[in-house]
Amino acid sequence: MEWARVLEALLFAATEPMEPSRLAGILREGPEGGQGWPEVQEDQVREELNHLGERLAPRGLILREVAGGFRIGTAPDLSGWIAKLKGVVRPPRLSPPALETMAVIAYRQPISRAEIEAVRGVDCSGTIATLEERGIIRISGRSEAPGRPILYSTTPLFLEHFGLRDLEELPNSEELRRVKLPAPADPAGPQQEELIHETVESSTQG
Amino acid sequence: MIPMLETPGSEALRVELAAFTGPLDLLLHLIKEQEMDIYEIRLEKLTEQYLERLDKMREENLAVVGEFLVMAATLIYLKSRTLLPVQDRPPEEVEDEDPKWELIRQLIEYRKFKEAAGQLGDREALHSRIFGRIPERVVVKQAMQGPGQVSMFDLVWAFQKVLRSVEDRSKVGRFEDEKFTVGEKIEFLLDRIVPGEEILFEDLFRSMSSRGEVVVTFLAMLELIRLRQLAAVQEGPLQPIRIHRTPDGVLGVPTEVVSTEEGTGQASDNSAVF
Repeated sequence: MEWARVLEALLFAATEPMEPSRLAGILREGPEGGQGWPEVQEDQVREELNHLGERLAPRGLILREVAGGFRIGTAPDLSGWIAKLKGVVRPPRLSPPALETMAVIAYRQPISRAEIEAVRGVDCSGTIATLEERGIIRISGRSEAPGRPILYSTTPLFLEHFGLRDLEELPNSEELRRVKLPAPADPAGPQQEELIHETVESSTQG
Repeated sequence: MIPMLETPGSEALRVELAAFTGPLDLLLHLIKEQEMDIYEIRLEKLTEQYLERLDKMREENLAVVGEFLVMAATLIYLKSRTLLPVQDRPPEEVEDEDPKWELIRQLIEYRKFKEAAGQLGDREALHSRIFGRIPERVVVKQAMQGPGQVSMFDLVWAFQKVLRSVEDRSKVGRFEDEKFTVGEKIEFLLDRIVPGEEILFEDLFRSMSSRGEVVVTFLAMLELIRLRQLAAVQEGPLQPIRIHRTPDGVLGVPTEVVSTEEGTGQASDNSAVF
């Protein structure tokens, strides 16, 4: 393909994942003040992206499909070298509690804090705040449940952080999405919920 | 007891206890450690082990979080319940299934998400080692808060340019005894900028040949902008900055202006106000 070079350059310069449809659109439109390739189709772009991935494989770069688009990155085994560069910061990894909260939100979004806490059995306000600050989750609405609690969902950055193409690519997504969550207002729940609130209050006072 | 805390063994234990993300995590660990089937947990043994762990945590001066105590209470309640003959149980519970199942269900659910969290962690470990390009520089546009607005940085940038040109002009000779005051320059600016007309920022300083005069004039301008007598506007990033009088800024004496601040609100919509 004569536009394969353009494709590679676009992906190299891009600072976010590029969807094949968007790439095809740019190729059809053409450069600033110039002629493009009006016949380029999305599946042709996809095919060329596969070739590009193969060409990059033996080199220091990789092409990954994340968050619905394609992105060029450095090969993972070279991370120690990249760390030597000034100004390149590796995003800090999440703590085990934050990963648990992350997993519950990822599989059961949109979800309220009370529902997350019913699964994990601990107060999750801290881990939720961390994830929100990192831009991995966001407030996506309010539930119709009493008190209209805030609901949380993942962001495209979540997919990028964990190298996922989309939510379907989450491991065991079929099973975990079907799982019936322990409702925060279960028959056996209320008394437990009350207890939690009491101890949380007393612990903040102390 | 206290010297014990310093031994490497207790250090390892401390780390282990701190590693539990919550009471359910600790329970799962104990079930695994005791090689119990999660569907056939032995409440007595589990409760005993659980409380033992909490005691150790306290000995290690680890803050035992409220949730761990709640779970302890739940376990003790469930255990005590098994000791009661069926006919002595509260009537509303007789027909219900054993509340122990509530805990087992919760444990099974939790275990699935804990495993999923582990898998996410593995993915994170791999993908945090891949570096993509990051945006190179803050775009100039971000300094602008909206069309027409001039940020403090734009003004200072323009001022520095003026200062440099003054330095070039004044190379020939310097008169150090010149004295300028902000008050004087406020009068000069109000005189120079006629209401309804605009003047280029640079033009205001054109006649000036000393650094001191330029600095004092700039301070006077900032003061007038603060008092909403003057406003600075700009067509777009890096475009020339123009200065004009605000509609209500006809009065020349700053002290009278302060009281009219509320009335000049509409002027702030598309011009710089500090």
